[in-house]
Amino acid sequence: MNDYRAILIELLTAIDYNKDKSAFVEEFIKNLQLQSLNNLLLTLPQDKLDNMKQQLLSSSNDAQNSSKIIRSLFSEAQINSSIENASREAVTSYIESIRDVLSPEQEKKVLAIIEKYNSTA
Amino acid sequence: MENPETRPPEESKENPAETAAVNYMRQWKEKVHAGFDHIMGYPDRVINRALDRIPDTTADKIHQKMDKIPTAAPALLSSGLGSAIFYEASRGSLSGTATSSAVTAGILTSFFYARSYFRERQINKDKDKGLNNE
Repeated sequence: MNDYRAILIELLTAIDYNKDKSAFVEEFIKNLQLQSLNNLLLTLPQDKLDNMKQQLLSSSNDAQNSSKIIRSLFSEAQINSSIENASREAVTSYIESIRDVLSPEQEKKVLAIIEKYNSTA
Repeated sequence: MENPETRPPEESKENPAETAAVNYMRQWKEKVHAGFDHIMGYPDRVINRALDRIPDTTADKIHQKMDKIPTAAPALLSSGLGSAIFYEASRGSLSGTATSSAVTAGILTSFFYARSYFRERQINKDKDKGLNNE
């Protein structure tokens, strides 16, 4: 299985990203987590959402409690599907935001990575 | 407090792609946090962003009133729940395998469409070259 962190680092290397690549990937993951959560929360009916907010306000804000709340509202399949969709949208937007400013050399490298993973998918 | 919306975009004269990547990440972060605030109904944070854009004296008065509104540490909540999403996605698998597969699958689907875009662009470039040579 391909490691998504390695793929993201490869993409950054292709565009000659000289800042902290790991920090970029960590930020990507944090945003992805929250985006997946937002997408899931938007599917909840208002009464369930209100109930969840109430639970959050009246209980401790620790990892165990957060997991318990998430588990009570969504199935593992729903969560995975939300993560996959959020990941697809994020990378699509990312490529769209850089594609018009790539140098010919950078474009060649980005396309080579895309081709490589398309052939292994 | 610095307002990210009025902050000038990062400049990297040597590498516009790096600048675009940095700006993309900053904008996505803003958007995703604003989305969470909106869903969870944290009007105080939304108001705070608006307050950054009005004169201090007026803002102070509004802030004094807002201090009376209870808050639920939204940043902590979003971070805790966000981590829980990744944790719960892999509940039935070992060492986050399911989460990793979901993220990778999303990336690869995106690559599939990106390949079409880049190939089409290359074809158009080649066509333009051909026309110019004629």
